Amino acid sequence: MDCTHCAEDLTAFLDGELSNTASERVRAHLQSCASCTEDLRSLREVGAFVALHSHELEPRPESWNLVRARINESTLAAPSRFWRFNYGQIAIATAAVVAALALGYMQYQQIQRQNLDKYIAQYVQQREAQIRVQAENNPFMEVNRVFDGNPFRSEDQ
Amino acid sequence: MTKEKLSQDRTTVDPAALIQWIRKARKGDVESYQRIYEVFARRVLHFIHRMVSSPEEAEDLAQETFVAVYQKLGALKDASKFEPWLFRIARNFVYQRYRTGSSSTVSIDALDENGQAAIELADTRKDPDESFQKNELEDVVANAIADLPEKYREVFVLSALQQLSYQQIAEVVERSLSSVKTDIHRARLEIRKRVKDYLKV
Repeated sequence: MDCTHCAEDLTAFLDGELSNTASERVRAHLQSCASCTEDLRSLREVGAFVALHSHELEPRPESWNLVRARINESTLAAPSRFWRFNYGQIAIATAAVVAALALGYMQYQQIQRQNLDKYIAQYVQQREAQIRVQAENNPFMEVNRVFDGNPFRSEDQ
Repeated sequence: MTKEKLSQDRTTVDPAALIQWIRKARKGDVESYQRIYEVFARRVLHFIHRMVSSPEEAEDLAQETFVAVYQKLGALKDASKFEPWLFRIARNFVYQRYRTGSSSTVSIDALDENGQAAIELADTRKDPDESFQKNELEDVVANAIADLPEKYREVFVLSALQQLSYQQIAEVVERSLSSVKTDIHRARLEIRKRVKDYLKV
């Protein structure tokens, strides 16, 4: 490793951000290079100086209350969480509603068909009963005549 | 090698506790969010202050940041990345303020008769007899950081004062790790240039 590469890595070396291999390379170079060692020392010194003389602001004591008040305001202004859906949820809900409607329609159709069949069956039954009564009252009509085959065919044929 | 960072008193937090607070805060538990605020408020304020210089503007932006963070918590996919995510939002507010042109340094009108900002924030320096030299050196450091080009300043503050890892900083500023590493080094060299005359004081 030459001095240029070593210099580029010195801050990362100080910050512990180099890989083990890269750190070893820097360390090996430092052992034989007074200039880079001095560079490292001064960078470390700068770090300590900044840390020592860095003045930090403190948040105002009332800051949290102000943040909280603004959070409360925004929560009241925003729609209830219950009604907050994302697009995925809306798509799922729409699909569910469409599926429910389709199933309901199919069920309705089936019930209608059953009712119609039932109605036809009843009608046929009633009609047969009516015909039977008429036949019994009509002397020219043969009751309980069993039609076998073609009624228009003469017996001789 | 032990990581040599510059900040002296970073508030630490148990990552498991933090994740728990985030989960509760997502469900609307403001008390849990207050705990998160207590851990990070000072650091976020400090970061923003270094970026905008004006203390009152920093305070205002820090509050906006924490309101926005609460509202966006649901969008944070990985709770373990909360810290860089938080600083990214703070940074966005800083740049948003610059873009809208409402950013201000403290104007003459905003200064009182002693030349101090009319609106004072709570100050850690409680002792009025604090030495002139200490104040002067704090000014030297503050000015050295303030004079850095923006892209160096943000990575320097995040690294040296906020103790974020290079990877976290890359996530905050949305740049590559190698670019961040280079900029942090250049920032430190710039700072050295500006403070070298005071190092022996």
